[in-house]
Amino acid sequence: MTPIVAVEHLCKYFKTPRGQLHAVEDLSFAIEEKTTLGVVGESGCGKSTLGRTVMGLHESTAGVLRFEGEDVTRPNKAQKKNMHRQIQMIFQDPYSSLDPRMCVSDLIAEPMKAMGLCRDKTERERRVAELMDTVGLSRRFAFSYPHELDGGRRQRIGIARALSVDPKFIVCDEPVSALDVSIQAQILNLLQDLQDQRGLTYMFITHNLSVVKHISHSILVMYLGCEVEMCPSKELFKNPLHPYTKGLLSAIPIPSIHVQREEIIMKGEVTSPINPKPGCRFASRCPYAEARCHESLPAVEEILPGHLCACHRVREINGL
Amino acid sequence: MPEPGKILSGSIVYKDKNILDMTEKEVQDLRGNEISMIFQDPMTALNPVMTVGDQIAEVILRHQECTKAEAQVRMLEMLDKVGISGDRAGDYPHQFSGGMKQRIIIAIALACNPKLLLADEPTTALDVTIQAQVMRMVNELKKEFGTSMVLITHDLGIVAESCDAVAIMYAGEIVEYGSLEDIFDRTAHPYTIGLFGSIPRLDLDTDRLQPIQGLMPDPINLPEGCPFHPRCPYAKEACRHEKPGHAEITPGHFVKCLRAKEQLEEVTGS
Amino acid sequence: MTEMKNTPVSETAKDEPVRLKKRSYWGEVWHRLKKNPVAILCLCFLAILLFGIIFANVLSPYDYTAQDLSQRFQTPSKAHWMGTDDYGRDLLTRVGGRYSLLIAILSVAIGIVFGMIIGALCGFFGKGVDSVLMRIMDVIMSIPGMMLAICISVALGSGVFNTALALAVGTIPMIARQLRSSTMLINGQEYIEAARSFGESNFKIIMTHIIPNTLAPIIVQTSLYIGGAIMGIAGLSFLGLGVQPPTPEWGNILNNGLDFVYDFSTRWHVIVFPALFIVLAELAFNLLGDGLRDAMDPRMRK
Repeated sequence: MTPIVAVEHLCKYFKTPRGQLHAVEDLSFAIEEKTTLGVVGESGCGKSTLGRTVMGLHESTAGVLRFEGEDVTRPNKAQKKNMHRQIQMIFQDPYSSLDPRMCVSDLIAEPMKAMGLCRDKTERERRVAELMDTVGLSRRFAFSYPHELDGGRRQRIGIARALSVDPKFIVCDEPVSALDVSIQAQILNLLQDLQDQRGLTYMFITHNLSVVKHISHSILVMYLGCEVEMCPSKELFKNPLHPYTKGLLSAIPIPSIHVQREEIIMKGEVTSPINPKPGCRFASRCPYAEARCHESLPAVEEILPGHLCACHRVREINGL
Repeated sequence: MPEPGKILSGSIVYKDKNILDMTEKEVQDLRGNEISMIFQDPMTALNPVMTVGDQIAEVILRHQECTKAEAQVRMLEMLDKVGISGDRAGDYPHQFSGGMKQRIIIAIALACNPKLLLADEPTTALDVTIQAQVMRMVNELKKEFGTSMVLITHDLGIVAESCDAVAIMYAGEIVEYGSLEDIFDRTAHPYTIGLFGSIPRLDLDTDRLQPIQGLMPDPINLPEGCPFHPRCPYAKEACRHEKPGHAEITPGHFVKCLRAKEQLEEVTGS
Repeated sequence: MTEMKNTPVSETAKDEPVRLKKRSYWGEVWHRLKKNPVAILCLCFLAILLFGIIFANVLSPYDYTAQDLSQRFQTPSKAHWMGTDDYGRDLLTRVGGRYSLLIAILSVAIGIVFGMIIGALCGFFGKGVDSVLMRIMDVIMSIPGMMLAICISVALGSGVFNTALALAVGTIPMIARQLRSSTMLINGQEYIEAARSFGESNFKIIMTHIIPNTLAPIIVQTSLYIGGAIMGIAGLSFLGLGVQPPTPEWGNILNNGLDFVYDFSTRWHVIVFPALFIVLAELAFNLLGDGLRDAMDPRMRK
């Protein structure tokens, strides 16, 4: 089966006054239909840029982007239109992603209007009401304004907007980070239900590993724009191979008093993605770094079946 | 903006003295000296036009009788304790990353050897790996300085790792209070149960989260009776009218819930 | 735990505002404006003023140029509600005369339309477009407003439209600058990015998201600009460039009146009435502007 979205050697650089910012560096992955790819990384690792590049909001610097097998790296008009319909995005901040001067029903109808779908007004209104039911938003809020609603409801508006044009693929950029725990769980359940009902494919971008474990089928770990590790979700948490993933997993406090987590405290902080030094991006914080780690960027290799990792010493470290 | 709150009743007892009865001067001497605070947002808690060294030394000079030179020595000591090299004392806050700024804030908070440290979501703004570094440092310094800490957080994981006793708050009230074991292993209040059901876990495989229904109540317009009853799966008619008091279900484990109280009465009655 | 529902949580809370009827954005603005008595009072006053101005020749029995030297400096009476001026012309007819306010509104309207277009383009596209357009604006701004208006007036000649245009050119850069910065601010918001992700065209984004969100401060400024324009017209007229006597215009009536107030007790009306009208019109625009700004912001809804 062709994957719904495939990315090959994708790069995205930005020019900044201080030099070239390598936001996404040589990333390759494919997302199968009706699955969720979780993208994890710390702030500034380029995961949001990746999402926006896949959305077509940023033009990639190099590499190929395929949607349903078709090359859409430099889309023509028809391809662009199709992409807008098939790929939608749920944004992180339910406060700034909704125009404060538009009421809920207008917000939900906006994508349909923009794409010229559902031109008939009564038909559109019916659809808005349907969508509000789908995302669990009471119809009596149809004419409320975003500022009158809490974060959870606003995020439901965001989801309804994304669903309004019946997309196949949704990029979720930290959709629950701004919400309280109890509301976060409601939204995560909603996203899972929608995936089951509508056969949606998600790319789920987050910094929260617990959330990504819960919702994803496979996970891509990023560090400073580079792919560090990618494998099915269960495998990653059972058997992390890359030193960064190990450190990241051990850094998460577990809400139980019986689990004693192994402490690997990573030294130092994330270095700058502007004009990065050659070599592995993680080398300066890596407890296993040796000379070659500072000289060349490790290639992504399939270390175990279905388990990709980019590290020069991965076999030594894991005794493989 | 709402008016700053007024304390209507009650007392805050610190070392057998009620802080509310103290004069402003006395409280000021206490603040930053015996009781200090770590704020949530390291980006805005530091003065951007003052070097970090001066900001730490300022607190020391204000509260301790010492010369400027002594304050400098103490300041460098503090920087070293939080893992920042002394030659960065002359740098300004913007030259530090988020995690480093939070370290500096912790250095300021601990500069006068406080007896009590109030930490309000100290790591919420930080990445997990940095959070792990900072929390470990805080716990070590706490031990070293013999400081007590009140840690305010929404992250039950951090609670499990750094705390001895836990108070769970809902709508302005402490609904459950007890030791770490009481809260994590003998969870009694439906709200606390709901919280545990809401968080995705790394250590467990759950297919589906069990979120608490509904939303936080409006603090201006709290429901009658138990404030949690509209969201509580166990709510009964009585919960709508009767405000539950604290029930001590096991020694030191307090729960504000009618159901827990009834269960307790059944056990002791039979 | 089993009692907890798993499906999307049903909405049961009763604490949110509920509205049943749907209005358009501007309908909503009007609805909110109606609740503000001060703004409505100002609106009525301005409406009456405009009505009077437009139908002055029908409403008034006098012609604004008709001189009657036997009736010079009449104090207000039944026949002449505001009295008469040095030529015995009816002051009410002259003050209510059509030009000041019309020119002021026209000039501000021209200024706003062009200023907004330029500002939105600069803020939205940035880079080259921004540099070129803003440098042109800087050049215009570097010339003192009155001087610019005089030059344009001289070039175009006097007359209602030309005067309005002459004054408008000076306000364009101010509005453009203001709109440019607020556009840049809003351009960074996620809802613009969201609109882009739906494939919304740049034109649609500017019209539906950027303009409504930047309009509020502009509306408030407008009232000030109108005041400024009234003064500007008076200035131009005084120099013989704007509206020429005997065409009535508040500035020149006031100016003219000033020559005769040495005898204030009998001739107070020649300056009090025109001044009062200028002040009232200005005040009404200001308060209406404030009211509109609040009405346009759904966040102000109670």
